[in-house]
Parts: sequence; C-alpha cells; structure tokens
Amino acid sequence: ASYELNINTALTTDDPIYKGLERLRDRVAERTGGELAIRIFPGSQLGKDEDVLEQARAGANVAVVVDGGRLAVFVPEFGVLGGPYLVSGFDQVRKIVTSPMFDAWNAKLKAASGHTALSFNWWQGDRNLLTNRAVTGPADLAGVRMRTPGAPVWMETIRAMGATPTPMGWAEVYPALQQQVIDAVEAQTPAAYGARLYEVTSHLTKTAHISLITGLVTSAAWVDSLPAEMQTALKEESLAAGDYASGLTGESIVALEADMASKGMTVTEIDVTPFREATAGVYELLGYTELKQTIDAMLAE
Amino acid sequence: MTLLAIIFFALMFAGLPIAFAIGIAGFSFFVFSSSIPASIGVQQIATTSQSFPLLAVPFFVLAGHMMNRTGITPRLITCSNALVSWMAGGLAQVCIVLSTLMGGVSGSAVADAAMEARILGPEMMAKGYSRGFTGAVIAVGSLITATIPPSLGLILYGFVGNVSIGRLFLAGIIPGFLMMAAMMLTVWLVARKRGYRAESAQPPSFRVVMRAVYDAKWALLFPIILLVAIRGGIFTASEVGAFAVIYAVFVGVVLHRELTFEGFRAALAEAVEDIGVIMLIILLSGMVGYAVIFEQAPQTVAAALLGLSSEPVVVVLLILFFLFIAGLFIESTVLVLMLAPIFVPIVTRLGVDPVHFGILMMSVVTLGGMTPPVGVAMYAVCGILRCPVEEYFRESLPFLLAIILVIVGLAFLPGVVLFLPNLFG
Amino acid sequence: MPPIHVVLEEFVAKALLAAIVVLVFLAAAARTFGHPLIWSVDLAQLLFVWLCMLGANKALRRKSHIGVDFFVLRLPTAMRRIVEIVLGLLTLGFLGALAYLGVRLTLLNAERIYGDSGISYAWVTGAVPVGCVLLALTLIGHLVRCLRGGALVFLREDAPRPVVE
Ligand code: NA
Ligand code: NA
Repeated sequence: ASYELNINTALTTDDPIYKGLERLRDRVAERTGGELAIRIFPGSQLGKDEDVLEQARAGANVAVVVDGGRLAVFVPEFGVLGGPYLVSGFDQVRKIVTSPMFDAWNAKLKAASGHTALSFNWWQGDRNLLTNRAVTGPADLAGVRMRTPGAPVWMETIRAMGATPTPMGWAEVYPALQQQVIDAVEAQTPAAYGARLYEVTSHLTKTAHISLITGLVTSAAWVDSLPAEMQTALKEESLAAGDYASGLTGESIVALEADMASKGMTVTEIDVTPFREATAGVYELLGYTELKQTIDAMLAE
Repeated sequence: MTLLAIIFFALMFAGLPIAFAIGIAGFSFFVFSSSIPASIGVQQIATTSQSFPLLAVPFFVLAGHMMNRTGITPRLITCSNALVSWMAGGLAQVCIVLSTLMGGVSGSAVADAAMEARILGPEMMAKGYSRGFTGAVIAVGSLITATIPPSLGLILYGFVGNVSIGRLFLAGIIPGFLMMAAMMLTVWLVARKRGYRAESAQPPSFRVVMRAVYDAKWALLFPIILLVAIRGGIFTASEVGAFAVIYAVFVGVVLHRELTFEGFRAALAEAVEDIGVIMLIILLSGMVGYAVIFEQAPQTVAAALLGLSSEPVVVVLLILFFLFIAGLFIESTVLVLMLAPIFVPIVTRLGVDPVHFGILMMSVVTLGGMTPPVGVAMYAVCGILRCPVEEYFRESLPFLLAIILVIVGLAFLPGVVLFLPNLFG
Repeated sequence: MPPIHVVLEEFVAKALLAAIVVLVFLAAAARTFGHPLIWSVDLAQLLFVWLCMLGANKALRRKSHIGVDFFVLRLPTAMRRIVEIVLGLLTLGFLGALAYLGVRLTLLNAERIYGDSGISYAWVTGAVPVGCVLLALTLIGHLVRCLRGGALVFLREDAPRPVVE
C-alpha cells in the first residue's frame, strides 16, 4: 500500500463501533485496490484521545474516534453535540452531523487546528443512569456520587439532574462502584455492558439524557496529501461505515439490555420530562443558547 | 524494531545510564519514521507521566524512606533476631526473615538489599560467613521484599498490563512466604554443611518473642492496614500510596516519636533522587512503548509463541524462561515496561489469570536484578560488601535454584497464587 | 553550601513531592465524605511530571542513574574516559533534540486543555523541554570536568561497585 491510516479507538474489539471500523478498513482496501491500508488500534493503544488528536495535528497518519467535547477546545460549536436532550434517536443526530452547518464547523476545525472529521455519524447509544436504587426523578439523585467524564457539559448536565458529578477514569469505575467509592455512573449501554457494570449496580434507568455521537477525526494535511479520488472514497466509506456501526449499536442495545435484565438488573423506562426540564438551563450556562435554537429549528424542518 | 534493539543494547553495554540508552533507542523510531513526526516522541514522554496508577511509584518510594526514619527498621531487626537467630545459620536466617518483614513496609528489593548489606553484612562476615554467601543471602533474599505487598514491581506491572493492583498485592503474600521458606531451608542446608552456627543455643522464650513482636507492631500492622484500606473502599489502589506516606509520618511522629523534622526533610530528599532515577527510565521508555505498538510487535510475538505451543502452562514457562535470560542482562523495570504489554494479552487469551502471571513475571524479572552480569540489587550488595561478582555468583546458585523451583511450582499452581485475591478481592 | 540553583531546585522538588502526597490524600478523603475535589488529583498529576524532571536532574548531578558498568570497568582508564565522552556528547545531542522538538510541540497544541481543568496542557508538555535543558546543562558540567581530566561523565568514582578480579 502507498498510503496508510492508523485508527485509534478507546473501544474494545467486541464493540459495534470496532466492527464498523473493520468494515471501513475492508471497503477502503477494496475500493482503492489496496493502495490505502487502514490499521485499527483498539483499547487506546496509540494513546489517549487528546494525544492522538495531537499526533494528527502534528501531521501523523492517525485518526481517532472522538465525541464533540474533545474538539470543542478548537471549535466551541462541536461541544453542543454533547448537550442534554439535544436530539431523540440516531436519525435526528445524523441529520445534524450531515448538515451544511456541520460542514461549516468542519471547515472551521481545519483552519483552527488542522484536523478534519471524515464522518461524524458513529452513534454509541443514549447515556442512561446505572444506580443501586430506583430513580424516577431528580429528587432521587440527591447526594448520589455519580461518575461522569469531567468535561463541563457532562458535569453541568449531571449536576442539573440532581446528582453530585464525580469525574474519574473509566477503568476505575468498576472497582470504585464495588468499593462504594462512588454510588452511580451514567453511560451508554454497550460501554456499561462491556465494563460488566451489571455486576456492581442494580438499576438501569433509561433517562437517555445524552445521545453519544462520535466522529472519525484525522489530520487534514494527511487527507490533503491523498489523491482526490482516494479522499472521496475514504470519506464516503467512512460515512457508510458509521451508519453501519450505528445500526449495529441500535441492535446490540436491545440485546444487551435484555441480557442485563436476565442477570438480575432492573431495567426501567421512565418519563424523562422532569430530567428534560431540569437540564434545560445547561445550554444557557455553557453559552449555547443561540446554537440550540438553530438546531431545534433545523430538526423541526 | 531491530535497529531500536541494537541501539539499546550497544549503548547500555557501553555504560550509558539505562534511562538514556532506552530513550535514545526509542527516539530513533521517531527519527526514522516517515509518517510519525519526531515531536511525538516528546508527547510520549509527557503522556507517560500522566497516568494515575503511576503516582504510586513516588508514594511508595517516599513511604519507604520515611519508614527508615521512624525507627521501624531497628524494631524489625530485633524482631527477626528473636524469631530465628537460634537456628543453624542464625544470622543468615535473620536476614531472610528481615527481608520478609521489611516486605510489608518497603516496595523495593534494592532498597532492602542495600540496607541489610550495610547493617547486617559486616556482622555476618565478622562471624565467619563467607563474603559471597553473605552477599547471596542478602541480595536474593530481597526478592521476598519485592514480592510481599507493597511492591513497586507489581505496581508497574499493574500499570502497564492494566491489571488490578489491589489483587496483585493480595496475590503476592503467599508466594512471598513460600520464597522465605525456600530460602530458609537452603540456608539451613548450607549452614549445616559449612558449620555456620546458631547465635544462641536454644529458642528464645515466648515472652521475648512477644515483646519483640509487640514493639514492632506498627510496622507489622502496616501491610494489613494497607490492604484493608484498599478493600474497604476508602482508597483506590492508586491512592493508597499517599495514605502509606501519611501513615509512616504518623507512626514516626506520634507513635514512635523518632521522626524529626530533619529526618522528614532527608527522607524527602532521598526520595526525590530515587524517583528521578526510576521515573526517567519510565518516562523515556514511553517512546519505545509507542514504537512497539505501532510496529504491532505484540501480534508478531504472540504468533511466534503460539506457533510453538498453545498449552497455557507451556507458553507461560516459555515466557518465563525468556524473561529469565533477558533478566540476566536487562534491568527489571525496563523488562516490565517493555514486555508486560506484549505478554499479558497473550496469556490472558490462553485463559491464564493476569494476576497469576503478574506474580510469576515480576518474580523472574526481579530475580534478574540478583544475577550477573547486570543486576542492580547485586551491584548494590557486592559494592557495599566489596565482594567480587564471581564469588557472589558461585554462592548464589543454591538460592537462585530454590527461588526458581518456587516460581516454576507456582506456575503450575494458580490456585495458590490466586487464593487470597479470590478470597478477598 | 551548594550553589543557589541547586538549593532552589532541591527545595522545589521536595515541595512538589510533599504537595502531591497531600493532594491525592485529600482527594480520597474529600470523596469519602461526599465532596469530591475534581482538581486535586489533576493538579497532583500535573506537578508529578515536574517532580520527575527535577528528580532526574538531581540524580544526574549526583551521578545516580543506573548503568551497566560491568564491561566498562574492564577497560583501561583512558579508554573508559573516551567511551564516556562519546556517550556524553551523544546524550547531549539527544537532549537538545528533545528540547527543540518539545518547545515546538508545546507551542503547536497550546489550546489543548489539561484534563477537565481549563488550564493549558502546555504545562505538561512544557516540562519535557525544560527538563531536557536542565539535564543538558548538568551534563555539560560533567563533560567539562571530564575533559579537564577530572571525574568521569556518568560513573561515580566513589560509588560502591563490585570488585573486578
Ligand atoms: Na514489599
Ligand atoms: Na541480571
């Protein structure tokens, strides 16, 4: 192969996203006659997301699967993708990340940090609450130490939902729950299942407070160094593989939740209105008021 | 990868400090890579420092130096004397029991070996123990210190292999005591043959033993408190090191009343230097870690190994044999950092518990520090005792053999290693 | 009395180590009582890289970095000195390259945020070039003393070392 792309992801090989990356690898090899080879590094082997973004920024041929929060330091608009109750379901979020507005963000990103998103339609599921007590509304979360990633949008959302946000590394979550260092965690189902959190929590409450959409981000300079038709092939296949992976995610969530229920976990659908109302102020808090209105208008079309 | 290895060995054997040898070798990957910019080498150094589990290294190094200033060491020596000095080869037995007791407060084999060589070495040689035998008992015995929790080797293994440090600590206890038993038996056999005597004619009275144990209670309790703190959910395994330092200061100031402000500052100063030595190796080897992953070396090694056998215990023994040979020449920290990421996935896939493998791997690579030509514990002890390496090596053979038998036995008996972690973990 | 920069470095390094212990201990204690301090561990981790660099420099000044002198000890003194000078110059080049690249990388990605703290990750990356400059300066001192016919570069003459027969 004349060209090589090294894709890093924090996820493991059984995750639907990884299956999507494998499909991307195979399709791209097929379409370019093996000229563009893709290697996948699961489990963050090439480094933390920020490290790999830095490698891409320095011009290395690496890409990484990241959520919008990681890019918000370069282009703040990306941060809104992690906002509470922004969308419902994959179709709505796909509409946002394939819109002209998103293309404009992507262009801004290239100018700001030299990154480019090949596609941003890699859906990892809705984030729900995993607790050791039943939850029906914000009042039930008072005093609950809930692990969340430490980015402002997550912290403020969890605080608005009534819990005490407690940031810590994902690898420490299982022992921390087991030893009651924390009381609860919020996560998308595939990640929660992969970390065997059903062993250390008893209730899965489907608040769906954040829809976790991620993208495949790489070095713009490296993409520009590819022949034009290879660039097109890579972007098209990346979008197709993202749809494929998101579909797998949707299917797997149904199966995984059934399996968790059979392992003794109480899986509850609740009326999310109280949480939706409690978190409405987060957009204003983070300066996304206008952007939220634009997105709402776009989704209403 | 080959070029990297050649550069590393050439520089190391030419006498360049290991940290720089591994740094220059790792940096060569970035310099010669057409796709990865050289500045990413700097990123790898910086990012290696940003791992929370790794903070346990400065904590336990500092805790060890603090302990030395709190009067714990003399109490443990008195305790060891009361327990075993009446046996054949009395002073050598004291060395081994002291290594075991020190194991509960110290995480480093080298620190224990140097301390014993300084304090007990001259006395042993004055009582007629040969120089080589004295060095061998002290150096090889310090492996017990590194196996009983806390253990810097196990922390590093847990860090690079992504294995629970709490479980590794629990798993180290039984193997540590088995090594103690094997070493004491070897001393007894050699002492009988050579006529190395006991220090006293009969065992001490129960009163004397109890008195010595009682005086050393804060040191003896420490590993238990440590494990309870991890298990009880007060601290994660990464945080417990900070607690260890606070405990050492508390014992020194409040309970023993021996830690002075001067001693406190001296312990900090000594720890800063030790941390600099260990961490420069770890940080600079971050570049090699990236090269190893990027070149997909683990997959290559796994394919080669699994081509030889897919019987778990055979693969484990092959790996241990390889580690033993590598350990003759390479410092243990470097071996763990380089090879744990390669071997842990392989053995895990074969169904070997990474905690079980961790104890075996850590024991073998730490043993490498006690064998010529390259061995930090050996250098420390032989340097202090002015003992020729050849003489040390001859006398260390029975002890090395005893330890190897224990390790091979443990390879076949995962239940023994995993008994405590499965019971409490 | 050692020179002022050595005293200062020593003081800062000891203070960093003590601060890291207190920060991590406080973080665990605060969380136990239900008031997690999110910045505490982050700050400890940030200070740690600086402690590593200062400690490494202290160890180099005192020639405490572990090396394999098994073979070098068998060389005649003059030969050993030449080997050490060559290695010293090579290491100096290595440290210089890291310092230069480190400054470039730090400036390239200054927007990167440290964890979730809001401060720049440049405080971490920047420790590498600063540390390399300190190590290089210390190494130059050793090299100059060695070229003037004094001590060796990396090996400590008075260090306990196994006897060669
Ligand atoms: Na120990
Ligand atoms: Na060795």
